[in-house]
Amino acid sequence: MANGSEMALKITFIILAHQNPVIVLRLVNALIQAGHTVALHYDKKADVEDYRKLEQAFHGNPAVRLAKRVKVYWGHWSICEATLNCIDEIAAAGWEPDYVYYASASDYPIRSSDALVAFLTRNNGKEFIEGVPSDKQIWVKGGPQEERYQYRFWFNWRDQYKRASFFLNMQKKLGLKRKFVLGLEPHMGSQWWVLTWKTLKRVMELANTRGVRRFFKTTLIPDELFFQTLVCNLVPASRIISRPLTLYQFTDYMVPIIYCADRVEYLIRQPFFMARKLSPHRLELYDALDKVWFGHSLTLAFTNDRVAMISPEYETQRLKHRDGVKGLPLYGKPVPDWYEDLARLEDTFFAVIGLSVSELRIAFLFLSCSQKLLCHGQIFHPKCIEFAYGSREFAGYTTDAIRLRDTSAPNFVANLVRAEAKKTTGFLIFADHGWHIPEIIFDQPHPRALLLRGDPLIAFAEFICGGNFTLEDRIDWNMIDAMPPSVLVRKWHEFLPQFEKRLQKLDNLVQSGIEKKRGNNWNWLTEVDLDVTRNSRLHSQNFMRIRSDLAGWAGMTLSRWRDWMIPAAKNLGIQLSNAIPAETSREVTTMLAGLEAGRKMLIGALAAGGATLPEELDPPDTNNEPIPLGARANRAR
Amino acid sequence: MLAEFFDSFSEHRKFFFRYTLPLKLASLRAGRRLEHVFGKPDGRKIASVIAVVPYYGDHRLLPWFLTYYRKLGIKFFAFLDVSTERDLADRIESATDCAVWRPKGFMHPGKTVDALNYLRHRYARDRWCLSVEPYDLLVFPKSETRHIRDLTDFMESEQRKHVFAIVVDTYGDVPASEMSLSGEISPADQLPYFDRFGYQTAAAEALDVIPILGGVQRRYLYGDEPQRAPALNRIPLLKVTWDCYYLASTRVVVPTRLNTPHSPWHSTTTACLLRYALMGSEMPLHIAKQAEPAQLYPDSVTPLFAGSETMTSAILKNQGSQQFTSSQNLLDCGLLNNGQWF
Repeated sequence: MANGSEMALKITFIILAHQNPVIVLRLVNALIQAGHTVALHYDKKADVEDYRKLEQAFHGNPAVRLAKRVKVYWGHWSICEATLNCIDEIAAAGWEPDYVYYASASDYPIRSSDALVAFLTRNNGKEFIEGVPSDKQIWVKGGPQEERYQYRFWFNWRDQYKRASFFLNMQKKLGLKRKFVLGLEPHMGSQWWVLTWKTLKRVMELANTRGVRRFFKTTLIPDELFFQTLVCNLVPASRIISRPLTLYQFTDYMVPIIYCADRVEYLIRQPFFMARKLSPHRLELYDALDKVWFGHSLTLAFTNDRVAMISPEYETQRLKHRDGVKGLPLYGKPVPDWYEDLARLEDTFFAVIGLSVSELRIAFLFLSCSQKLLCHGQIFHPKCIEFAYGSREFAGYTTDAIRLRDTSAPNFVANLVRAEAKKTTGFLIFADHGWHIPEIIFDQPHPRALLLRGDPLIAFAEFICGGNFTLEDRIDWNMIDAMPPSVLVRKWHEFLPQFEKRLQKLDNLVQSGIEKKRGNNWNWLTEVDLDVTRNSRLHSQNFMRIRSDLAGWAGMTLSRWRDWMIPAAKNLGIQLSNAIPAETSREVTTMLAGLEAGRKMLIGALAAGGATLPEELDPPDTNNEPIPLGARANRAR
Repeated sequence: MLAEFFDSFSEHRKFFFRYTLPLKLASLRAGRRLEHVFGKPDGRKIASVIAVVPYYGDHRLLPWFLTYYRKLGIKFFAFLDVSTERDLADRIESATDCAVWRPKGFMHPGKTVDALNYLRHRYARDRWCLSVEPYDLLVFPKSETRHIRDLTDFMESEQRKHVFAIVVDTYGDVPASEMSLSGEISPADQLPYFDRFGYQTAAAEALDVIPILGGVQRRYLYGDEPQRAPALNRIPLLKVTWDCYYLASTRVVVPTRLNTPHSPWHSTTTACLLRYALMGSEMPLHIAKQAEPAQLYPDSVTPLFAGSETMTSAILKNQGSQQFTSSQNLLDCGLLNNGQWF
């Protein structure tokens, strides 16, 4: 605790209070215990019982004087009058302080008393008052500035706005502009100042000059004008430090921020000596700041040039939370029907979109090798939701929560992505599934896509087996083998238009995505064409045509899949290793062999049934005229 | 211009005669059927935030409820005792910060909302009023260290007179029916989990109500009909002005501007009501369940308490569950919004 008798510098605090005597008592006691003196004004409008408590508490205390009470109103001369009463009380007490620190009962020290004394000793003679020449600079952010003193205000701007505004306009129309009293240059600034007693005595002399008080009584918000103008006209500019020693910040509603109990750390980091307004509801805040004030807890020292430099934390937080935290849902804010919660999602995720589940499964097996990836299966399968690692539930959804998922597909995807914080989330979509999620993926900036333009024969085999394959389902080649070729050909002709329609849809998506994501430098799309017979057009820079020098899809050996999957995965943001785990290699190799064998059988059966096939698909021992399958697909584009 | 002005005036008048006046008259009628049993009879010279709470008879949860809200900064509680025993006054006779009212004779459960409106105006006119169920804990950003007055002060500084909240059902590791309440273990310890995902903002309804759907009840009870899931949006805290009345539970309030969660220009601080109804006793929960549907507006809205009664024997914890330790858990998943509150 600072010892008052050893102080080289005497400080008196003027405190204006209007409520909460507990906090007033606490503040005044803290100040006088540190050896300072206090002149207190308690609003005459406030509860008389509260005032009695204060009177009793400070009765006979030589360090506290209670000033003559006036009824104080916002933006009214009464604030200055209360302050002048306090100054009169200081003069009457004969304290003759070096400095007078003007504060309200909502303020509290955020630096030690010793630090304040040391600072003022170091800067002895300086006046800490904000004074902006209001004829030359704009200081008021909203509302009248020069009009505040050019015209007369007989009514309160806040409580009687209509009347005050009416009379202001009347005076303007009648040209009743007035000159500033005594020809002084008007200055404006914050109400909270720290001035030397010598200056205040001169201010009082000037204030007592005939006409001065009468002039300021009819100005608007004189507490931001009266002392500022008088001091700036009395004291040379070299002695005025136009920075407040009290921290105060405003919200964007121009209301002072109230610092709550959890803001102690923030407050004591700020290079000020007091802060306002402090929440009066949790006394823990005051306990913590008492330790600072009495020097029991250390605070960082600051140099003169850093005084009153507020850190940007408040602004940063305000802007961060202005429209909800980015990436998190903002419940209660109406969302666009199309995107729903995906509009707010900022995490990267990807979808592998394919034309057959068998091909998607191979991609899934490769991608699942990565430890940094959480790859779900077909999350939009009509019969179940395939979560990663065969989980029964994920993000609160179970595998059979189809209706819940379909209530809002974008919200469902957003929940899956948010549920995995560490890994990149991905999933598979069969070209016909997924509601409008593929459209959103090709539209929103964050999602990435891997597009597999698959082999029609593999997709056809799945079609014959009933379609809607899950990752666990396998093509029943024996059943296909047992089917009469004529039936197969009929189904082939039934299937082809559907397939082409899906291809068309994917192409449209790519086209719209390229247009909408044009500004996006990132490789958001990887296209892979697994059909060797199509002459695909190059759509994006990441187009990979699996042009096999071997016959047909047979070229898709394990190593060949790996060769294109690694760069494709890289575009999805995943680093795949060259070394494929043995289990995956075995599974993929077996699958590829099975698919290739089945595919050859299917080509033979279709040819036997009289279907015309493209050259490359044609088995070598047949003489049928090839149907340009690729040409069909290209026509569709 | 003039026509527009008169049209808007006419709209306001229509609204007044359609909603405000009937609600005011209904609340006065309901008030006449209430009797004051205990505590201060009106709101003169009492706290600036007052809680008006229905009491269904769950006296085991009462100390826990009062302790939580006293710590949060509520200085006065006005209870409406609709329990079967009507014995609340005997149970809290030592509490100087409580008042108890009860119906004279039988009162239709649907009239509870009117009776509560009456108490709100009697105790909290021109003050902030907290309207919660006795199973709900109000959580707002940093509510562990901040006072409820801090929240109301901030809301007033943004010229808002209400706080929007989402009801979040809580549950434990095991079915609630297998748990028991003892002296030292609170419901909050028994039911520490809530659903982190699976909420959604639905399209705005009449009277500017923006429903929030989702939560445990939707995934567990309404998985096959998600659109029938109960709405979770509530306005538990508002400044009671002369024209301010709850129309349905605490879900719909007039004037309609009080139903909008966020300002059109920026997001606003919101709250959550952590609901511990699974720890409720059978009879009080049954009364709450009976009282709720009659209070809901429109009638198609599914009540919440009925679901709570059904889920007492269910294992609700799953992979999307999150343990509640502080308001930060709710902030992290977006169920709470900090707004511009510093």
